[in-house]
Amino acid sequence: MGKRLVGLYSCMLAWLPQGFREEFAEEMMQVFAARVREAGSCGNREVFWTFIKELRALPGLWLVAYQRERRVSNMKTWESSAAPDDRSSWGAALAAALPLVGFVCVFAMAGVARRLLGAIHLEVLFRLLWADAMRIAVMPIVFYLLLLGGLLAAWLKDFPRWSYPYLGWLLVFLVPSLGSSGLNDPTLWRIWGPLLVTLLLAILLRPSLKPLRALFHGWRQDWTLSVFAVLGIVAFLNLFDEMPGPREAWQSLCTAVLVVGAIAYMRISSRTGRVAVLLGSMVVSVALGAGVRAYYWHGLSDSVVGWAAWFVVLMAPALFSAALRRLRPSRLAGQ
Amino acid sequence: MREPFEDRSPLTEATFYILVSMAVEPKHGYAILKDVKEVSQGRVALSTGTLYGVLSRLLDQGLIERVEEEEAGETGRVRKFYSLSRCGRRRLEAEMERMLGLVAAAQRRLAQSGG
Repeated sequence: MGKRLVGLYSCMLAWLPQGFREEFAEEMMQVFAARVREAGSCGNREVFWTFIKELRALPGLWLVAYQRERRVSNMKTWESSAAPDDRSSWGAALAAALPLVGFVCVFAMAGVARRLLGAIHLEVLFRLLWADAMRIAVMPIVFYLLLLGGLLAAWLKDFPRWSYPYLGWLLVFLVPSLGSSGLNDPTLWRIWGPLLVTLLLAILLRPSLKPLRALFHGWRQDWTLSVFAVLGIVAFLNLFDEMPGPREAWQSLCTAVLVVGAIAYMRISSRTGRVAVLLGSMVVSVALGAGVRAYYWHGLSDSVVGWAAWFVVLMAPALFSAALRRLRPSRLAGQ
Repeated sequence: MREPFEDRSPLTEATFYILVSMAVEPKHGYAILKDVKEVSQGRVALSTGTLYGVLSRLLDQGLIERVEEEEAGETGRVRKFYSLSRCGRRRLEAEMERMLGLVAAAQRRLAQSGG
């Protein structure tokens, strides 16, 4: 009877989470077997009651073990998520720059496709399939797929540092008034369906709140990530569709500056250096865009106050996070 | 390295006896079970599950540590021993002080009402 009960107890321990099982299950088996042996000297009835007492304790143990496993897993996630002063790999740096590279490609390809399809009169077909021309519909859809794929991968990998520019792009779709031309009103709404499908797919593939916790933790740990996320929006704010001809080239150049900023951000280890390259690339990119517009309109057309307001709004999360980090130690010291 | 979290909440009876049991020398799981029963004069009979739930928590809090692993004779099995850490000893002493404070307060009040 004793051996059978030990076997049964062993099966029940198999329901414990893996980490706890590996650490304690063997010992627990030894202790349980010793208890059964001891009870055996008083007869089978005593063995049976010992087993019942042990069974009663198992639900509580499962609860404790699963809570512990969750705690350990959370700590591992936090330790592995964006450590503020680590330099990212080239792969991660390229992944971070991918949405911006995609944005450049959209312009380059859209220009080529427009001319090519315009020449062979296929644009009419696309006009029938979509409410808008190929230029503002099909190419952006390729770009949307890139963004959505990145967001899905980011969810599955607990939102590592490279994923923040993808999240920044989401703001463009959440706040339609951010768009100034090209990808704005006629196409923005098209992202909502695929975005919802991506979210459902992400939840199906990884039904856990861990990615969101890791995202929040990453943001709290490193406020420069908020600035990093803003890069994509800056590329979008630079859009300008009035000028014919070399517009794509200028647009690509403005965005390429941001690509360099994104890669440098991922590869630099000091926080000051990171913020410097981010702000530097944003300023250069915006200045280039403003220069092209000034050339076209024969003078600066954009409101400086409007740009400054956008800058404050976009930097608000970073400023808020930085202020929190500065306030907290002094408050703790005061206690 | 992060300091173990200093929890000042009262210890449960089982946790208290488990810490007391390790106060003299490191013990393995079964020895702790037997000792707790003996120290509590049969009042606290821990099950294996309860014991290891408490041990895992005490390890995480840094109140106890695994001190050695020893092969138990012919079976060749590995036994893990647990001992009080310095932090655990301080926690146990603090708990004793808290309990003595409780007893002293109750004694004073009872002496007043009795007088």
